Amino acid sequence: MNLNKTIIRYVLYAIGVFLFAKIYTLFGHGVTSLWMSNAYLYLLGLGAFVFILLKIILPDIAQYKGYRLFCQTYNSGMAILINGMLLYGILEIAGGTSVYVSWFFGVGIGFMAIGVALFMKTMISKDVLPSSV
Amino acid sequence: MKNSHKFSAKRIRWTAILIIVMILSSAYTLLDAFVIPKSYVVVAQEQIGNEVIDIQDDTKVDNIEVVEMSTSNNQVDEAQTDGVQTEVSITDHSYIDEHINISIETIEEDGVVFYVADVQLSDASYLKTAFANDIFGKNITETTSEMAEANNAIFAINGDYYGFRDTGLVIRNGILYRDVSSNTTNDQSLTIDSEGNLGFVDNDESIGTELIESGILQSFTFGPTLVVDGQVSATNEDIVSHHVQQSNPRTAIGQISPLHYLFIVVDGRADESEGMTLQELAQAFVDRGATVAYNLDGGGSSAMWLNGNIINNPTSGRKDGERKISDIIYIGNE
Repeated sequence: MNLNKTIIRYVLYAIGVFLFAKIYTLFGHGVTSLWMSNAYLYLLGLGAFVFILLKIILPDIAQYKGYRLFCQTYNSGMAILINGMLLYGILEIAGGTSVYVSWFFGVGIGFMAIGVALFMKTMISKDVLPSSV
Repeated sequence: MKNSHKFSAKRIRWTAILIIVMILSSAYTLLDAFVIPKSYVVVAQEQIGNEVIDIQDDTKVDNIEVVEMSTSNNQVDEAQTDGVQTEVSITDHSYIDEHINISIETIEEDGVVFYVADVQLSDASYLKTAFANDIFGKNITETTSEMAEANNAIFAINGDYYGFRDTGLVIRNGILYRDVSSNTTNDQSLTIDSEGNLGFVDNDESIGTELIESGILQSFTFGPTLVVDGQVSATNEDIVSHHVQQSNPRTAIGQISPLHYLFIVVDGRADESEGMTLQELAQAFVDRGATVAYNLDGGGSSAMWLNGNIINNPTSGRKDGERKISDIIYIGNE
């Protein structure tokens, strides 16, 4: 899991989500949703920015055991969370609600929390991958 | 290297599963919200309070005999109600009998066409509500016209489209159907009590049972509140920073005095009429003397119906014609 690639991916996803929100809002007759409009900021803040920080503070993090699992879990959580935000936005613009949207938020944040926990564990154990020894 | 390949394969599998699960769960969420009909309560006549049933028995509007008057669109009906003769005057934009007086004015102002129905009643029991197909549920819909005709209404407007949301207080005709507080930005629900007076309650707590005990017959959760004490509710944040700020088709209900109501429906999303902002709508009520007013579902849902005809020009902006919705407010004898 290359840090640079991850950062670039997050930026590209953010641009995609930003464009999706803009285009969707064009058909909303002036009805907007902050959740949808701001979803790209979460991708930049909790995605790209976090990995830029990691790159600056822990440039060799990719060689630690558990890092890939952290990435996998954290990124999955982000994907579920952003999906939930877009769904919430679609429903909000239409004037509706759904009890199921909260599941996306819950599961997404849960995955991200597990990812952060795995990251902490990695940092505490500082086990490096066999190939990096 | 072997470990790295193994992890990559797992990662691809996991990503594929995640994408499939997200697509399926998103599709189900959207289908549940927009398409799949769910019936929660079928409204039987027995569920409606005795008072309402008694009124239905007394009026017998089905027995009205229509007597044509001198002009083609102006007629006087004589209703035989248990031996009492009631004179009914009906035009394209009005209805008058001894208990109900409805007159609708079409106004064209600054590129906006809107319809103001001035309604005066002799008793609050003439102001009623109905669900699509007489079912309280989700995605169960009919047009305003269909519901009005099914309930022998004289006049009707669209309601708050409660069936599009899972939250928000729903009391209709004295029955509590949903007591889940709304977590939307709209801070108040509209209530109508047994005297026919409009009021507002906060959305942040479930107080349905208390409201029923205090005599509330109807509630609507859409909003925002437009007029309070005869003033535009300008201090209400919703009216200033509502997420539906642009000019749009609108429907709203207001009250001038006891049993004297204003219903305003605004055409919008069309070349002939761009629609109104919430502030403009609130001002329209204040200008006509309303002391309180509340915004209902608008956009493509906005519809006003009188004596078998749609008065406004409903459009969603993409599709003309009435939208199927979940509920109406209506004036009726039966």
